[in-house]
Amino acid sequence: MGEPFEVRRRDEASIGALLDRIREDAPITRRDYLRILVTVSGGLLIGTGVVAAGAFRRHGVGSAPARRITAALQSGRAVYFNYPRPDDQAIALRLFDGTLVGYSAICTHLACSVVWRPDREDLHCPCHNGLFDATTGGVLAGPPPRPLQRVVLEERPTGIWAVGTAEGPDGG
Amino acid sequence: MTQERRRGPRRARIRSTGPGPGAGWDRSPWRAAMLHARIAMVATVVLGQLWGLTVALDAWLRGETGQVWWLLGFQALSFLIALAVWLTVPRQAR
Repeated sequence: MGEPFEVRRRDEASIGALLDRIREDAPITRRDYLRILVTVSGGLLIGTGVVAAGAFRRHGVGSAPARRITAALQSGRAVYFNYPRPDDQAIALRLFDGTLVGYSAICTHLACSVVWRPDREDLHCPCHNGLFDATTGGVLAGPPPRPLQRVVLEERPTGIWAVGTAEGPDGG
Repeated sequence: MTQERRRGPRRARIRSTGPGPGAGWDRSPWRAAMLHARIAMVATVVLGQLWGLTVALDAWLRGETGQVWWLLGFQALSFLIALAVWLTVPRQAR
């Protein structure tokens, strides 16, 4: 003969309340901490894989059909254009010695736009004072971690054309 | 009532409510120690992985993609170690 129904129901209710209290007191056990840490470890592995796979696109990298930029460029002057993609800002420079050079105009630090300073003959990023050599695109000063991406330019009878991109002088 | 209390067994007087003696302590301290050691090992591995991800991002920003692949290997090895520590339960801790 079992316990009276009322007694059994009261016991079950008290056990349920006790279990609820235990769950509230210890929402995460030490074994849960271990499981969470292993999950975080897997997440960090995936994050590094994403970086290694090149999920973050660099500005100014890639190829595109040749594109005419301008008809002519005088000494000490610069012209901005977009190459190789419509959102990749680039800059073409005619240095004072007559050399024609082209670079991605996106700073390699935090993607601000660089500015040609003819009086100092360098490319300046005003966001964090990054400085690039106008002759090579290499980093002269400031926080940029790699040189500017080069844009290959050609002078044709029809004007100045962007024909491709190349890595910076230091292998960047 | 007084007579009954004198005749009955001597009991400890309850001075406060709450858990009894021993509550909150591990009944199997060696098992707890092993669990703590495993947590500490995996936490150390995760800290190393955080460092690895930082170095990987820095290398990617410098354009040294080869170094990033090496660091991916380091991360994979670290994850395998963490997984092994998690899944491998010492016999004494079972």
